[in-house]
Amino acid sequence: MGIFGSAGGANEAAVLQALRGLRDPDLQQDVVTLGFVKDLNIASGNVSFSLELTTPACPVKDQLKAEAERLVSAVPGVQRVDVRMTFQVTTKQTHQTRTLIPEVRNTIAVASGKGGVGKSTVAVNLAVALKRYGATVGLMDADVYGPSIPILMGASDPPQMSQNRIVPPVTQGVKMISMGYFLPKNEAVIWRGPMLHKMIQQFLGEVEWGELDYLVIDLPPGTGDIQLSLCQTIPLTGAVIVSTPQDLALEVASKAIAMFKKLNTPILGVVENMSYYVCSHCGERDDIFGHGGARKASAQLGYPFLGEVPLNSAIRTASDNGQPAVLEGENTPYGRAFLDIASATAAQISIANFNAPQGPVIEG
Amino acid sequence: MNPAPTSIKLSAPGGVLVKWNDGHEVTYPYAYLRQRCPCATCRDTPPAVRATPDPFPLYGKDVIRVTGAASVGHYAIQFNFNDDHATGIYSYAYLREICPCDECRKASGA
Repeated sequence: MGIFGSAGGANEAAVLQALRGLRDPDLQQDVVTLGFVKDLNIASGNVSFSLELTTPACPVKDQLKAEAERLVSAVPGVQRVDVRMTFQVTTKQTHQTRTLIPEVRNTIAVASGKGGVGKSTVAVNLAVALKRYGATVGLMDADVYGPSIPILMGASDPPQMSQNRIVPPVTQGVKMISMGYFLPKNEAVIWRGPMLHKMIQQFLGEVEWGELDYLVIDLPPGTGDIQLSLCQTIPLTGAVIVSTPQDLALEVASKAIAMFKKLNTPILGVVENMSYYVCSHCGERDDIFGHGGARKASAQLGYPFLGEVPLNSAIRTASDNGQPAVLEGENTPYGRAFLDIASATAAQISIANFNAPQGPVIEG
Repeated sequence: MNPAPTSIKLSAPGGVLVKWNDGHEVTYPYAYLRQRCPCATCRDTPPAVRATPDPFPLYGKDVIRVTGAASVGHYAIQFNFNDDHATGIYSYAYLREICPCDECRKASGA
């Protein structure tokens, strides 16, 4: 590598060779093989390039940057290194998604077995957290029976119609659609399967989602028509399972996991909500529903544990006020928790896209 | 890993040719596939299917054929037949379960 380098600069091959020493911790391959190194520019001793990661929320972004700088600086002839960190969220398109949601890169279903575990709260905060990391995000409320997204995300204008397509309102930078927008207050949806199936198809195909890195889908509890319709209508990138720590909730959550397994939908991981309670007066911690049950269960089943969210009245207040708790940022324990969960979920998505088998090729 | 099809050829000689990710390769005759349609209606009342040409074709049924297919999520294939039936969703697991090859038939005791 010294031959060209000795002419007062480094050569491209030597720089790339050095960068082969840098591995993506999630995908377990070096950044050159993965094609992350972009816009490599060498002007005598000055080297600049972009490292294009597959997630906006990489927790080790700074370490990767420092390591890249260190490795390239060590190449003979290099005087200055300029690394730009960028991201391009990956996708795995199939015939179904190309037809229905061609510009949506990833779909994440947030599911639980039991109701009342805070699924919608997790979905909302996951969406807003991903947005905070710089991704483009949509949020689809597939819980027709108890649509709560409009309340959790705060007041917004109702969706508009434009050229026979639904234009979703945008709150906190997130595009949203919910049955709640189409239903007078105090009315209920009393539908059978075929109607629910149609709704899922419309919420996907007839909503002007535009280009999205992630579409977060809040499911109703259980393993019913909506879950099945969703898994049939599109191949989901993956599902996030929300559970509270007690045995009862975990027992029911395992039914949801079994369903996704049966439908070959990747499980991105498990979130433990209402994980513990810290008294705001005395600071004493109380594990109201027990603690760590979801972590243990996910380890037993072999799925990633994405994080735990404490039981905190501030989350409830924020939710009722339509200001997702994650907006309070990383300085609150719950804000930190939601940001970390979003980061872990994004990492699992990039792994899922990397490993996911392509659907069958169908020919006439 | 669960077996999943990698390619499906609808008009292969003798029926639908399915290649699996574990190397298994088999042709499902059209009539065989149609008779085993897993939809609720067909499970309730198995369909009458013509596998061979009708000697009196004027009023008879056409020979059954697959005319199209589509992926269903991550887990199944939906076949369209020429008798206008398309409600059967054949999960990969089910498709494998009804594999018509001698080996699999023997293994399943059919």
